[in-house]
Amino acid sequence: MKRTDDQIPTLNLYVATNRRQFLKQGGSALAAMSALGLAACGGSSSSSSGGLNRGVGNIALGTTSDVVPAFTASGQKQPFTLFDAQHKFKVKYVQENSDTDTYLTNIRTQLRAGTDVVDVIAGDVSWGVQFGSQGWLADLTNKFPTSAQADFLPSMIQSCTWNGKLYGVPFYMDDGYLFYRKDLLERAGYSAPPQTWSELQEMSLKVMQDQKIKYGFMFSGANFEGGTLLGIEFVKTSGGTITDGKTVTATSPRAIEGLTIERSMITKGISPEAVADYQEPNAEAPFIAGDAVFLRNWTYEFEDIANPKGTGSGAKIHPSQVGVAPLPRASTSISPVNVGGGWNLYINANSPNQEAGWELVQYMTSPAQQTQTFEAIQYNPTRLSVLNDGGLAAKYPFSAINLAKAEVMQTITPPRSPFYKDMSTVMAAQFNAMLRGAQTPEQTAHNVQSGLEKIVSQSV
Amino acid sequence: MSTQFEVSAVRRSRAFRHPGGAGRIEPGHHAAKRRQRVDLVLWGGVTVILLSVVLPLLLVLKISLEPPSALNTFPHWSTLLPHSLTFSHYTTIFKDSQFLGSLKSSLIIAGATTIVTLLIGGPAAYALSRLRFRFRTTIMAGILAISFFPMVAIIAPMFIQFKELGLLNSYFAVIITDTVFVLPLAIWILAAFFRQLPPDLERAAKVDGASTLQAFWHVIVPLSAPGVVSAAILTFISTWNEYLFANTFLFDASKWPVTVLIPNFEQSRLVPDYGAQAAAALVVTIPILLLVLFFQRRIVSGLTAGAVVG
Repeated sequence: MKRTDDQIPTLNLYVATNRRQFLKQGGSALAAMSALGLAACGGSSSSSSGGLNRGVGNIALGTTSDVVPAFTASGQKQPFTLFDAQHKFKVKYVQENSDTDTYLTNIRTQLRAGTDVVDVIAGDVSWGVQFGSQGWLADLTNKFPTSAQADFLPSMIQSCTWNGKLYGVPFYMDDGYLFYRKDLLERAGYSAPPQTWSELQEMSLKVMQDQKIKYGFMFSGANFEGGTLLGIEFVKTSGGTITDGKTVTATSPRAIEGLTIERSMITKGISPEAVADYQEPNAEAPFIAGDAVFLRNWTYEFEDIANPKGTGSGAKIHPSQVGVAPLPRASTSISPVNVGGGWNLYINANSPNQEAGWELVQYMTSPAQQTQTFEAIQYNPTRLSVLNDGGLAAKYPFSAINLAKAEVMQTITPPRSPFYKDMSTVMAAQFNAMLRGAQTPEQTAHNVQSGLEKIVSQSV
Repeated sequence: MSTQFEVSAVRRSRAFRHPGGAGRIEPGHHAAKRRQRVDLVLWGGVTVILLSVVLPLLLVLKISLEPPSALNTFPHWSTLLPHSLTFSHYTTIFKDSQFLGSLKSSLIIAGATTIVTLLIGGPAAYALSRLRFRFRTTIMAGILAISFFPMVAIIAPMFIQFKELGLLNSYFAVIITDTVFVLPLAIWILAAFFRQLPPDLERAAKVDGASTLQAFWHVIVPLSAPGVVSAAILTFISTWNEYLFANTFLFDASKWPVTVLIPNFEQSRLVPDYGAQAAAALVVTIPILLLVLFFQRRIVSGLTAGAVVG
């Protein structure tokens, strides 16, 4: 490369007579190019701030496509037609990436840049504090008083709260359950699901041996957000805490006990080594196919078991064979708990449509709409009044509302911190390294401790 | 070609000088053995590389052809043949109007980027290969440095800039950024190509009364087709596959290119529709495959331009 200059014969000067002439020609090429470019991409938006053509007074709702059926009236193709008919403004549905991490990255870029691409954001429980602490979300404290909060699950309300301000309204719940094979346990002589992790392991081994079942306990231990939540859950069900977002207590004996239990699932042969690579669909598949005794999964599992068509033709079990229980604990003295959450609705602080946005949020979280959401897509309500609706429970026998109301009430949300995403990244990697056998539970606890302390110290 | 001829000529002459006798033909015998060994290593290498490239593709093909339940049978990777055959994933994606729309978006973005890149890169590369001026090597190195720049690092400032310019959520934002990142490659390929064309060609044209532009247009452009084609195809491929910018700057799902859309095929929340994703991933590689197959010879000659300094 150093020699390129010398390689050019002097004659070359002669080809393009002078540089200015050359540049002129380049200029005309550029002009032609831009004309072409304009023609090629046409139809660009000329709208003001966000770039979305949504018209004056209309509100843009960012959400993933899975919730859309809950807001689409029967016989309609577009969502929110009912809402539009009752209000002065219309809702523009902005489809967000269905991968939550990608969605988070995108929405964070948009909010950080101060755009109003979307007015209302439907997003993960952990976003309220992450975005609210940055001033990116509208403070709803005055709009959403304590009296109105009373009907919502307290843990979800808490998830939207940071420094005394409220940044969101709970949209739907997603909870963790232990699904178990009633038929197999009964045949093995067990009349009730396990209360403790050691009972679960004992039952698993017996059923696996006597009834030739491949796997005991299936869970998703891959290096991802779900892996973080499950690791925290093992610690919580052992009476420990990893962090409350401000102090880190990952090396407490109880926390280490929780991690030790998680790892022992593999070392005792209750879970396959592959759970270290499993996300939810991988963990679910063997259970649905009848190859596993226990499964820890989220609310959508009810629908997958009740309506196995959606998962393909691999389902070999019937809902009548499946029972649901709270997650086991290290000992019965610890109260049952699961780490989950769900989604909240947030309002963009930069949105010019604050009032309209609030009306949409109220509509989407009203008791009538939460009932509709449950009926359409079986997402658990965040309102106690809907959760306790006996009519719904009777209509949907194999659902969380009918079978696992207690578990929904026990759900706790992930640690609240402006840096939750960073924390989760550390925890997911550490828990996963432990499941793969690369480090002991004690080392894992120490690594989590130092990793999270580093993150927490940013905020002080 | 010529080296091969020379080697065989030498060999023939040796054999000629030492006819007959087992001991006498040993040098040739050794050479043949060594050649065999070299062939073995060569073909072994080719096989390994080919397998590592093709195997994942075959797996994707397999996933696209079996029902979702088959994906969850264990162990899944034991065979490359589908457990049972279905074309339902292909019907799923082709019935999906969003998928067809995203193909159009991809085509607009990749097509426009390719055209813009060639129109800027062509003259730039020509100037860099023909004109002598100070800091030319520095400029070439600077251009190359752009392509080393981590895209993620500039995404937030770019976002703010496009917001100020009102270009967010328009194809322009993606085309501009894609062009910036693909231009260096195009310029380097084209510059290498122009450099190997003898300057006498333009000189002759000028003697015949052609202007610089005419000489460029009538002499250089037709001759540089292989370079231009390979630059165009590489530009097209890298833009067709681009994900980050499109995902960040386009909010309307109707404007998403295929790369952004494909991960969104799902059966339900948390349950990706891997079959449809695999089918879509294969379908979108077909245009690229056709392009490359069709222009194969030109791409190779374009890429190897200037590789051998005569």
